[in-house]
Amino acid sequence: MDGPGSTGTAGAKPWQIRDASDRRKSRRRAADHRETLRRLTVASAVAAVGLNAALFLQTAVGQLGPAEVDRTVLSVLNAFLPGSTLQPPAEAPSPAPGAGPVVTTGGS
Amino acid sequence: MTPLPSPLWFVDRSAGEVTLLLMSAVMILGIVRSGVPTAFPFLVEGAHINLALLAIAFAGLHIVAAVLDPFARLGPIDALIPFVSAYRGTWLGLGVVSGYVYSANVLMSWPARRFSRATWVWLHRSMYVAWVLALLHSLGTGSDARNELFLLLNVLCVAGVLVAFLAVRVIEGWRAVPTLWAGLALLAVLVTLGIGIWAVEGPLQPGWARSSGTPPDLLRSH
Repeated sequence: MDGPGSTGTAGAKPWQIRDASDRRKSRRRAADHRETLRRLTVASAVAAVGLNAALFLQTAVGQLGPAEVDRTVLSVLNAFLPGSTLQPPAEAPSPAPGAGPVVTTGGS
Repeated sequence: MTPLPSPLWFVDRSAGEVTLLLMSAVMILGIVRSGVPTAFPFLVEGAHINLALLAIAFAGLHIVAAVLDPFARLGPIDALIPFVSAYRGTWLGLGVVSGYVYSANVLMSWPARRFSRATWVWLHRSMYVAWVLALLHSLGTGSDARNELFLLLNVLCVAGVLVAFLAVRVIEGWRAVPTLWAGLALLAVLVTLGIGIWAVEGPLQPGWARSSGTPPDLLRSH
């Protein structure tokens, strides 16, 4: 018995049914590829922005030192958010109660 | 007193490196598209076009940050006219020329090809020149040529493009005209070796900032 999905195929020749099926598959494949391309492009853009931020921090820390970078980032934030009261720390944070001393190295 | 670099100076440098990476990805995708036209043509060509446009966005950020940043005192003229800048003029000029060749390639390809296919293919091969110039600009002008992360990324760019060219484009072309493609493969290897030797002897040596044409009052900040 014909269901609602099979209307329109009655009386059609076998090659027409095959042709319509191929066209549907081709359309679905194109839609899948468009979606994959969209995801690939968004992922590439996010990765590029992330890498840009990482390289920015690396060059800035390498040339200015972490404290100056803190001040630079805060000055940029304060420029964009004039009401904010963000301040760089006056001194290094103290360890939590009960925590052991943290050993820091100077890096390369 | 030596001026301190502004945040824009670091944006300029990081965006320049990301632009080179994106250009290399665009090159690899273009090589795959032309060498193996049947391999996911829609995806490869779509990614090639989208990353090419993304590279333009980062190149724009790189240029705008360089012009607005007060540290290197670059102006619109330095960004538009090659080889006139007081700051590392030769190496900055190569970046300007690369930008023009790249932009011309995008304009004649997107959103539609503006020449017959044969003419377009020949003109589009100038992207190799744009990429080599961008690489020389990155090594010569870049303040980060000796930075390990930047160096690693540059090596990855060169290795990726060279491997794609030899493994895809040369092998594909070899079947039709072996002598021509053997010559092109040799040329690609020699150019890569030449850039490698120049980088080791020049930008990777101490004192490159002085010999590359950095104004003396900025030297202490490099």
